[in-house]
Amino acid sequence: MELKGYTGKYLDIDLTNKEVKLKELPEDWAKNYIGGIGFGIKTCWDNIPKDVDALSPENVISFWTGPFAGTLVPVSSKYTAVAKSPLTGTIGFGISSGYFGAELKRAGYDGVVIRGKADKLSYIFIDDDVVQIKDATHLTGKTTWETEDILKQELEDKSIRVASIGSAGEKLVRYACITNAKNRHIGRNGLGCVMGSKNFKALAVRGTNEVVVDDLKTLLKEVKQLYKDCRGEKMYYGREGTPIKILKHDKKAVLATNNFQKMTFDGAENVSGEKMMEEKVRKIIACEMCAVACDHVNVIKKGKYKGTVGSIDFESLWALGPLCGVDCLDAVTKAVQLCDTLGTDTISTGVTVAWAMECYEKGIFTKQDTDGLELNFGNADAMIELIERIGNREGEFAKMLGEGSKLAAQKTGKDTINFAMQIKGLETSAYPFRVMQTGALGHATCITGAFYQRSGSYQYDEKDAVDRYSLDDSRGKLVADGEDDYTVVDSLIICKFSRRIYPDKEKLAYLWNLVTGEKIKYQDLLDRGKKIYTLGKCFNVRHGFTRQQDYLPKRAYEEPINDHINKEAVVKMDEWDKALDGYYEYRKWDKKTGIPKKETLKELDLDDAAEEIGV
Amino acid sequence: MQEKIIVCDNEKCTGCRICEYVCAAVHEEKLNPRLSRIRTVRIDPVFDLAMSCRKCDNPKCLDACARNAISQDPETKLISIDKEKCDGCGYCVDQCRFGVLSIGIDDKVAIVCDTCREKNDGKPACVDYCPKEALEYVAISGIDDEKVKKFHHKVQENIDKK
Repeated sequence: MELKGYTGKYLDIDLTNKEVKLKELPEDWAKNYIGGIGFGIKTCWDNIPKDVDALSPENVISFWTGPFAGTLVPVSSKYTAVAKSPLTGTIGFGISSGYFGAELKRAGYDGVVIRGKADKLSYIFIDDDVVQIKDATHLTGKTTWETEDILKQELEDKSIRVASIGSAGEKLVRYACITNAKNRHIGRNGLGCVMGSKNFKALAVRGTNEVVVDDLKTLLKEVKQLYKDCRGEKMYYGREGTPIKILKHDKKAVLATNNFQKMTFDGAENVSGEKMMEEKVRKIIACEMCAVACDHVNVIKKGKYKGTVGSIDFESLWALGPLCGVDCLDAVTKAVQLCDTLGTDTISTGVTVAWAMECYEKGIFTKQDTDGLELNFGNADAMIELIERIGNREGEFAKMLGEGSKLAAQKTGKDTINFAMQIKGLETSAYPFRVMQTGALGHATCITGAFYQRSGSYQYDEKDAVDRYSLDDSRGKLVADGEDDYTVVDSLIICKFSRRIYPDKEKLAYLWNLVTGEKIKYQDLLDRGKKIYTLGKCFNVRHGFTRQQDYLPKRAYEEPINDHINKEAVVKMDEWDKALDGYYEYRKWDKKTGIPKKETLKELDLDDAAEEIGV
Repeated sequence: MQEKIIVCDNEKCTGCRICEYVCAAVHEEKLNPRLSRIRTVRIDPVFDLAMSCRKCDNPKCLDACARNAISQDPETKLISIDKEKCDGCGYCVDQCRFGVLSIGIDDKVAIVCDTCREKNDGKPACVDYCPKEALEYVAISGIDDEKVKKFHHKVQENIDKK
């Protein structure tokens, strides 16, 4: 491997045949696909043909770091898992931090590709160059936290890092997550479900080798200031944290409440970030190589949930708080802890439960349907009980919800799909479509389903840099540029919370130079980002996705929001179509189909993709 | 002379391991926290601490070494390892009450904090780089001072409240 920062090697493990192969990272990958999700998307493209079911042994899940993991670059100990998503059928990935990514790099690998299906529940232990597939039947039904503790004890080293699934993953909840360092998760897209479908309980790693960079001395000098910048004025993540958005959003009337029926929440004060910080946060901790430290860990000291521990950010607080009408921080902490330990994505869990609550309040579900739960908005006990049942897949109702809001709504019928708040099957994040429409466009074009972290386009609305109540063909550029930028970030991989410490993006390119030895400009990285994102889109096209799936749930077009700030706020279909046109045009994709054009793919050197998707 | 040691405020320490990375980079010119002279530990869920040599009087590590590879500077109290004599048996690691010695993963000899005496302009790099200012390089008497100050602040606050 010519470029430094990479190990130049990855593991290719077939669980069916119990075969472990050590492979060389193709030389051109680093210069075309950066790392992280770039390598993951390329792996999926090369290995998952049309019609492969996400839960079949033919699906391939791969774990990757980028060149920065294990180096001094701030906020870089990250890894991703990438596969075809069982929740959406699109490319699926999530990114997690903690201590896992750097450890994997030090074990000597840029990534691990997992195929097939083990005949019984198994885990993989990577101990530098010794790789074993081991029996995990004794871990059946264990939570992610128990699994981590047991494996560290069993392997007799507390410094071993573990990424595992809980019972939700084992029992194929479609939005099951992968957990490491207890509070860090690959949450979105059901990657934990893919692990479960392979009888793959955990990946444990011990790495003792050095990570080699091109210019360590200069890097050591450069990062000193960056660590300081991580604590700068704008870096509120490490102080009050993202939960302060609860009151900010409530004030702005963009706090999605009761399954997006309202944009303000009467109980907002009770679940505010300020209150949480004052009363519940025991400490703010960090991931490896992070000078920001954003992990607000709540420890509940008294009452019904005494002893509960939960790491809570804005999205989790919102999804299991206001969205479900719940205004009790102790209950939200309990709900988050259940999601973390049983192994489900907090956002998908909250949005699915909120959908069920709306169905219940509308009389579509009776108490009999819900297996005895009174699922009114605000009923924290019922929410908590339901989350536990979903994670353990107990009872028919919870089983159905474990399929995700889209499939559950399709099964339920009665137009409940109109208010299942998902796109392509992925439950949406906290930025409501009707009152943050640039955000909505970014959620809809996102190749993994409704998620804010693939373009960050909601920020234009949040800052009121655009008219957030309308759309036109100029917004596509904002979204597409954001997608390419975030694809670089997710491929390098660094934490999005560090973006404010690089007001000049050339600094990132400079860090790339110091780590890899390749002298490039940020634009070169952006070009690679565009290529990666486009290949991800081609993966979706291969699996049947077109323009048709880039639409919002009907609620967004048909139910205007009215309150003291929002007046008849609704997404207008003609504007939406124009906005999509604008996006595809800017991307140089076909407007009618939403599929990349042949010449566009050729420009990106993706000729084989053009041939494969038949353009 | 009052010797100084590196102390860590466990309420400020976030467990980021930057001290370990920087220590290894400064001493070994390698990126590998396992080559660090300072160790971080997290006890779930939120207790974090980083620790390096405490410069004990009558250090156990010194007594434990069967090859006389360990010595202590009578003035600075710094522990040094004679790399030629050390055979990496690990008995000093075993005997240290604080777990701050380790056997280097590369050349298999004991490594221990030297407070960057000859590196990083003589300032301990871990303290220099700690993003949360959790680490301090202070005289042992200074630690008491800080505690007394904190106590007095608390008293003052209580008086102010009333």
